[in-house]
Amino acid sequence: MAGDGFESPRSWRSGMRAGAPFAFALFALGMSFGIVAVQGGFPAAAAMAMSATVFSAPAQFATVEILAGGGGIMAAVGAATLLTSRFVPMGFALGPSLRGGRLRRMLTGQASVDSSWAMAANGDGTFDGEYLIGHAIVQYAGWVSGTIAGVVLPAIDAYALGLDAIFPAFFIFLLAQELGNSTRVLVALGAAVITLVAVPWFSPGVPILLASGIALIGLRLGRAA
Amino acid sequence: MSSALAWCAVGLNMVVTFLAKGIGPALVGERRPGAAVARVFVLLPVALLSGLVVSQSFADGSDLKVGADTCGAIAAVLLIRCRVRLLGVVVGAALVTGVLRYVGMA
Repeated sequence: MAGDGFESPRSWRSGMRAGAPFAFALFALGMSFGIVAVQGGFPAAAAMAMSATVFSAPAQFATVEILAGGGGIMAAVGAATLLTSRFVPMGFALGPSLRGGRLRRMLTGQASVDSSWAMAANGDGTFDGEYLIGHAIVQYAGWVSGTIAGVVLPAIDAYALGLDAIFPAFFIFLLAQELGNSTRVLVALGAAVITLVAVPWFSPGVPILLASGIALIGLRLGRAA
Repeated sequence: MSSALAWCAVGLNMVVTFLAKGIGPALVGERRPGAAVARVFVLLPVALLSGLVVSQSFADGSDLKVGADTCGAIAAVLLIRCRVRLLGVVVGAALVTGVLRYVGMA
């Protein structure tokens, strides 16, 4: 899929350009993560190390909230695991498009975040690995520097500013570009319904994993999706 | 919480995320998927984006609720329909959400 005004040739450079707006949003959210983590009792160094090594906003917020609320380590890590579970099928889709040995492919896979993965999709089932990395690098810089800023100078309230609404808005924009035929519209509607039905019954993260399962109807289609 | 607990959570989360993102690329190698599996991979972004949009706009933990962020998402849809560009869509959604929270909507 082509990004907004970023046409081919696709490379790490066009990935970085397309990822830049996300990086600003992640800076703001990283800041609120740093603030929440330190207020919840995390040592400042641990909060910064977490953003540098985990790089998953939902998993990190869930972990901090559960531990700060008196929950155990298994509950916290379990919730984070469910939130990151969708990266397993995403990784299997990405895998054939990556180059190099096993370790290098595993490391390249770390550049998968929701937006980088979705925008690196070429639309034919393959992915652009360079674009993925470029997109993820600028977001990583925003996330880590935002966390440091939040730990050092707790000032802005990303929630009050409505900055958390940036992500669904981005995803709606990406989704609108993907709805090219009736099969895709049906898949999107099906995934939406599954998510709505599953939210009250499962831990956060699981509904999205279940919703992504609807892509399996591709196995039963006779023609290109 | 003790700092040992915090560091322990950081370490475990790092391992879990690394494995979740890395296991697929490590296992599938450069084998090309068949046509049927490729169709699944084509549809996966659509399903994932749709699930993310719904859970981020309507879910608060395990509760379904319509809030300021839901209105922000609806604003995004309307702006896209009016052919507004990406930056305008995103700023508009954040603005609607922030203003509604400022006037007291959860």
